[in-house]
Amino acid sequence: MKIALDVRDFGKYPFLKESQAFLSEYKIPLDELIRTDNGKIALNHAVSRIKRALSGHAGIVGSIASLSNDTGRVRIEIASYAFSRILVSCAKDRYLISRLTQFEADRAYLLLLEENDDIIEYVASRMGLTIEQNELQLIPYVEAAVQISLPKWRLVNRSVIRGMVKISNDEKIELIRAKILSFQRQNLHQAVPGSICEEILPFIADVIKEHQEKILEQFGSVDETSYPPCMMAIITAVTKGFNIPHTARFALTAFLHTIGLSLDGIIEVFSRAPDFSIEKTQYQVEHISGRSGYGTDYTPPLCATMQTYGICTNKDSLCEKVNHPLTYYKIKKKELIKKKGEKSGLRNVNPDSSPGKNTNEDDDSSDVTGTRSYKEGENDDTKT
Amino acid sequence: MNRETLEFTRECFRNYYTNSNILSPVSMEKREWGFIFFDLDAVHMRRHIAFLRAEEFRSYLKNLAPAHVYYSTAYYGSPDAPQMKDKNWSGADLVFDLDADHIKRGSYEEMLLRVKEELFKLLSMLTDELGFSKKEIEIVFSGGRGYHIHIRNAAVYRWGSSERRELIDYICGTGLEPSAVLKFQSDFKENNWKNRMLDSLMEYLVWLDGPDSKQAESSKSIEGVPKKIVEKILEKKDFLIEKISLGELSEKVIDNDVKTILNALLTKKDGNFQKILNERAARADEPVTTDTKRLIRLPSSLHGGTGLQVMKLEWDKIQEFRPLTDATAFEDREVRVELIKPFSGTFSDNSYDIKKGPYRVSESMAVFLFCRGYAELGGSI
Ligand code: SF4
Repeated sequence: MKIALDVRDFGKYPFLKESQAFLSEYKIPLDELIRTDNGKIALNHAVSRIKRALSGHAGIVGSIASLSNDTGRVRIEIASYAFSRILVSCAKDRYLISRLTQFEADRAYLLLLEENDDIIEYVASRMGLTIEQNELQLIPYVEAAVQISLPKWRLVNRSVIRGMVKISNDEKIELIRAKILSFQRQNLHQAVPGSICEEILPFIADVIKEHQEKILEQFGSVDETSYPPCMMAIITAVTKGFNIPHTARFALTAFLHTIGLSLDGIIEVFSRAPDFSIEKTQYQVEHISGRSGYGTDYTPPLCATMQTYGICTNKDSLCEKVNHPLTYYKIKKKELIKKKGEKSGLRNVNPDSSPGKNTNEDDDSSDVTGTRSYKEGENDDTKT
Repeated sequence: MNRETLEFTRECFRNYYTNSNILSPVSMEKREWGFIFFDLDAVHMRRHIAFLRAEEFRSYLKNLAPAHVYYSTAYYGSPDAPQMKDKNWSGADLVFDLDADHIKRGSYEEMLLRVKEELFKLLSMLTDELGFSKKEIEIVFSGGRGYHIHIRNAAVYRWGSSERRELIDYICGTGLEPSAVLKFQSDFKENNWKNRMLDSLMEYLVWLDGPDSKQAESSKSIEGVPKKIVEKILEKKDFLIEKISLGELSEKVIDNDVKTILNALLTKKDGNFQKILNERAARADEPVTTDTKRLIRLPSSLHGGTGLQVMKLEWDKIQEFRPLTDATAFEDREVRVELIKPFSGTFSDNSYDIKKGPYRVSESMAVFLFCRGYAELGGSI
């Protein structure tokens, strides 16, 4: 199969090798490019790319709408992809890295939905998935399918003959998306020399600021009285000096990090332990919250996972309605605010929302649930 | 095992390791090794050991004559690092473990026969369904109660646990989801879990209608299915069986009642349906496959619990392979033993049903009896 992608396709699928090759026509290495005017433009685009990655579905749609046929703009598009990776790598925040990873996969997915079979199979093959007549080989199938937790993707639920796995037409694109996701999980984050990070510091600061604002938008300021019972139980255990399992430490740290507690804030929680050691805690917390590098996904576990770990404790009535401790937190917080508001005579004021903010509950919960879930509405995965 | 018996057994092992051709695993220098020794007190494993050349581990075996020899399925940059995290994992063979232990209780021979059936199911799934080629599959008798399958395929060797889990779940039929399975198109003669599930359903319906399922009369629900639905299904049992066996799976055949029943039956892990379904799975041990840092017995070493050889088998020899005859490792000379508990069973084609007391048996059988705790070395008769 030999298909020449046209210029516009490079901008659509910037992660393909040929797209990156197109970038090399700038004729200077990326680290020098950042000092040029073109580089500055691309860096600004990279910042928007990350902002879009933080804005859910609307961000993806916006990104697709702004695609252009113009060679110069396509080149900037591709450069913005490369720079956005550098920016989040410098920021060393797992949440940002994971959002951008999701964004790239979702964006490609939406674009592929509009493509003809030739292009679909071409992109698939470039990602290592050779799909012919709705069949592909076992090994690439498994590698892509493990990224998706829905039962229909389990090998046991498939027809497999002599190492060939059948998939339906619709499933092709879902599988490519999964493959892009795993590719990005492995490659998006990269080691960037400190000197380069330093040079683009203002752009990184911009990204981090946006990220913090988003958290504030989503969760408001941190409110300890709204923590779900499981997290309170872990905090109590820490405070009493019990030796808590790694899974609990991870769940709590990830939870606190996601609702916007600062690194110091998280360390403060752990410092309530009588035998608290700052170096150890700092190391663990930084590791989990991603400051120390690594591009793997970091998201707090679902209730179902918490149950499997045996750390879903003291469930209350609100728990029955949620499948994620973060959802518990959000609902509880709203309720408390409403109560307070009623007491003080305030009405219809929701300090959680700033003007123009996306208040769609389902939409933002998809940001933080199961790492293997793959699109909105399918985020109550239990497989971990 | 008393001191004399132990010394004797160790000598037999030493002779074996001195005179036999001991196989060396692929990339042996990247493997971690572990050994358990004949000793009166310990079942302690000495591990985190590495060898640079095959000669080194061969002379280690000769000198120390361990009771059990293991090597890692994983390849490491520093296989002898004392901490797993420092070993620098670079990949692992894909392995499957069939052990009679969790398949069937019974006499040793019965267990061995039963586990061989599992072996055939496993091999046919690995080749006919999953598409591995015969030459990348190594079949090994474990020397104990089962078989190990080693698959050496460069494309899977970097796989983590979740990818490996897909394969072991397929082999065991774990995670079957009726709504997903029923959706895919396939020939009704094809070997896949859709057909295995439907075959199991037919068998289950026959059982349900038979005298063995007394519960069918007495309880309100059977294996989690409301009695009303059970009755409806039983009414059209013959119709269902006929259609399913012809592969005619229209909406009328596989209706909501059938789906309800399948969903309910599959969640009842200890029910009769699951038992019927399990007969169609190959019941390999899940953790062995998903653990990418496992130690496994070295083919051509000896199993210290039986004195039998951990034996690599050729494909065309599996059918006729008889562990208790073909995997014996020692000489024919006679040894005097003192049976300390009665033994009944087969060994090297002979059946025994013998009481306590002194006997003369072949060296292989003597070691077998010693290792399994039936006998001690005998004095003069
Ligand atoms: S149900 Fe969820 S939120 Fe509630 S205690 Fe359990 S894990 Fe926490």
